[in-house]
Amino acid sequence: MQKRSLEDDMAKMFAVIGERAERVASAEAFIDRHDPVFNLANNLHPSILHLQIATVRDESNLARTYQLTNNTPNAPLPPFRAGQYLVVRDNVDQGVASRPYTISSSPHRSNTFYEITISHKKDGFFSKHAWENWKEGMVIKAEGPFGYFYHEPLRDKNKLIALAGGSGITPFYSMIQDVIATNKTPHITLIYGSTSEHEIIFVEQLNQLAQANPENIKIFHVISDPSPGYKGLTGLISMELIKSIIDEPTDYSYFICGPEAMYRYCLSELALLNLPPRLIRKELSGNFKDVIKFHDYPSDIGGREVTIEYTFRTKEGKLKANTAETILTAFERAGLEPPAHCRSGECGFCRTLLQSGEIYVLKETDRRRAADLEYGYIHPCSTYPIGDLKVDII
Amino acid sequence: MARAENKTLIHADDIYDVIVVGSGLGGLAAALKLAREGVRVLLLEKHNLPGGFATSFVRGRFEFEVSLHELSDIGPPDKKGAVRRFLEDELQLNIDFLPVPEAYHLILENEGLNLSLPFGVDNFIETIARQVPGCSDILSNFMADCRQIARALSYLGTVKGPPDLDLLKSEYPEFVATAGYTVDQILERYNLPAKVRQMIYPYWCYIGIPTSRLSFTIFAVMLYSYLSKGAYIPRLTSHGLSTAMDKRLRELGAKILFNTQVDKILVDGGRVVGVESAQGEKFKAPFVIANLSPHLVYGKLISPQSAVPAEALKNTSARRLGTSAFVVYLGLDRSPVELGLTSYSYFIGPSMNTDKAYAGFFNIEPQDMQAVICLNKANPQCSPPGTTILSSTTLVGPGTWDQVAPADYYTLKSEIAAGVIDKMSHYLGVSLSQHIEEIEIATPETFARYTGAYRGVMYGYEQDPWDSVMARSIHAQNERFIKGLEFAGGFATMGHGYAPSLISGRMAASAVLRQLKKLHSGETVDRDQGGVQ
Repeated sequence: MQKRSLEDDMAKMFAVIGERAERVASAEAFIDRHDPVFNLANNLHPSILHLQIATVRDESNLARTYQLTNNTPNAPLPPFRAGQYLVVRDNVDQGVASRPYTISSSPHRSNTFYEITISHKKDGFFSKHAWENWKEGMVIKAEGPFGYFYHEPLRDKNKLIALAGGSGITPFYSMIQDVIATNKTPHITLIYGSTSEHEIIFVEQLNQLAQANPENIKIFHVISDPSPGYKGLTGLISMELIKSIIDEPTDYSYFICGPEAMYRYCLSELALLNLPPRLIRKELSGNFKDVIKFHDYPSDIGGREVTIEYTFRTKEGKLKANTAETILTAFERAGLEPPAHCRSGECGFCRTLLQSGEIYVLKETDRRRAADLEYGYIHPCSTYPIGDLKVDII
Repeated sequence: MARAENKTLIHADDIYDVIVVGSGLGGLAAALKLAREGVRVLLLEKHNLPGGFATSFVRGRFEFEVSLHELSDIGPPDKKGAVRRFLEDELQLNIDFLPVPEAYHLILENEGLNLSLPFGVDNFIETIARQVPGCSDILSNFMADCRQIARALSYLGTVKGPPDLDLLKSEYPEFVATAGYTVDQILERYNLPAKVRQMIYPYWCYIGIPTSRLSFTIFAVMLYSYLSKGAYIPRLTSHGLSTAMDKRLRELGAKILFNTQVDKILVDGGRVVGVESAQGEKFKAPFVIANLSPHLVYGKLISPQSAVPAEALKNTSARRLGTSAFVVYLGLDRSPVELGLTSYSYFIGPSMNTDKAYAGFFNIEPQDMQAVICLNKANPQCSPPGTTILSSTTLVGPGTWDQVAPADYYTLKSEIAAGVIDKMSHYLGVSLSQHIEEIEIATPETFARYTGAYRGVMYGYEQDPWDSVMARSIHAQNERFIKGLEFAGGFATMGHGYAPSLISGRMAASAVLRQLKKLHSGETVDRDQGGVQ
């Protein structure tokens, strides 16, 4: 090392320290509050959306589409990726509730509207409420768009097998419109299972889109309970059926969206193709019916009432819950409105601290972080109480 | 002092000694140190999780680290570094840390370099000397000087009031000789071949400004600390670290509110008196620790705005914002062995031209210089057998993403990620695209969304010599502009990074504790009562 004068270097050290004072002295007494990155974040992911129900139309006797526009005049809606969902909130009965609904309209229309399509279910809670109460002109609260069920070209094949069941068509209807509007991949082969040929949601629109775009879009309807004389494909979406439609199975990504029974059946059929997991993507599972019948659910519990002692910000109290229903459902029935998005265990937005008590979490929907497992945090949307609990909703 | 009844409940009439705004590592550390001293603490966080940048996320069967590459100053259990001592001995936390296997694996294509450099000063020198024979004596001198500088900084951390200049000159002459200069200026003094410099520069990426501007003191301390004490990661990811702190805070009776954004820091008569949340809740306390940037605090949050002295505005606007990042997270369906990944931490690119790489931070295109982490190499249990977690980080200069329109955002980030993956595959010599089971992409927008950081900045303020930790420390006492207000986190005195953020929280808590003692003993609390630890 070249020898230098320590005094010179020390002078330099003081000069640098002095430089700070000089720079401050000559700086403007002004901080730029404009933050374009924050604005971008806020435009993409606003904390709350107020959406007006612009139109309501029936798709079939069991499905109804609500077109939603931004209630703030001239404000664009956040863009989304085909397959993503909105979380819609409303007061239902005496409590509050939220549900994720996939946006069924095309992303390229998101500057003006979103559409969500809600099926009428006999025992539906939120869907029944929407069907009975939502009218044109009403304003509803929503969050999002969220979710990871979209075609990602860096991960997924450019040929997609879309396996849909019933109202599980919504993400694929959005994807098909997107592919056609943007003239981009993936090529989509939709295998769409419906109970009856008279209950196919978006049937005319889908068939028209497929006819007009034979290169990109192929559609096969499969009817499980057809009328006598029905000539199309019938039965379930089996491995044989899939193989009869495609050539090399590993050239495709497989996206599945439909009711619980369909997931289970399709996944077991796909398993016969020995596909690597990266080729299979499932939409949110939602809440499971009949969780007490699951093989690893504690056999002696059954469906019975338990008590949850809770704290939530400035509130505390006790509420009733049922071992066959999620903890989140119990919160909402009691009128609490904790954060919740996916209702399927995936997003972690409802993360809550379990102070004490026994719970049941279905393994396949347990998406908790490793540390949360260790430190006793739960996702109430996919967790069932199997005894009295103490929780801190945080 | 905590209430005896339900510990976690927030009461509208609760009285707090200190409100901590932001639960990044700085805020968590400050809150926990205070809570351990029996101080009544309220911690407010806009997100639904603690940790700020120090967190993780789950996609499919993978849990990804958001930002952590490695923690410095942990050291092995039998030779604890300052951060391990703070976490374990002072905060009584029990964090399971795993050692990082090597200092870094350097792949510089144009230089023909592809080698793993080990921890341990002697091993490090030996490895470089095998590449460039004859340089070990100079390198040994260089490392001895770095060691002396690290010790000088420790000494400066312990002195109350102005340091003894004669002692500095006699005990730590290398510190005095180098403190006013940049890395490049000092490296000129050692006649080290260019190739050797390329091999010792990589940690500059952790500070994010080119070696032509980076304070040598900072670089020397960082290099010596990593090489002598190694690097560590928490077994349960950064989320394990932040959650352990969160959980302990609750046990100690501190109050924590998530999903609570602070919109105002209330000031009356030149002193903080409390905060107001976006929901309109008001919380009162004579002290506020802001785990936030001065840009946000002085520019936006102080209420009324007229309570911000012109000095504070000038001081803030004089400083240069550090970088944000563009990160690609990959969950791969092959093991590291199958992919051919041998190291944990890679620095890859054409060459180690830090000026050129820095200029690239302001170009939105995919960058050549990447820091790649293969998490499995330090934590083999982090993902299921037969899989790998790999991430690539490139730095993004402030302003680079300002013009991005929402409608273009998703396509743009996907296109950039495609380029990043191509370059990463090329330099690492591994095939990645056929094995991607999960992918997530974070941009400055993502970091702004989740952390609320001003402009999505991750790296605090740039550390030129005039705004290095040392310069900040010396000026700290004159840069307290509002009574009762302290800063913690990556924008505070210690600079960004996991270890500095934790230590910054400790410093902020200590400063408040000193003032609280005065307050309780009836003395006037003045702004000259803080100071560097």
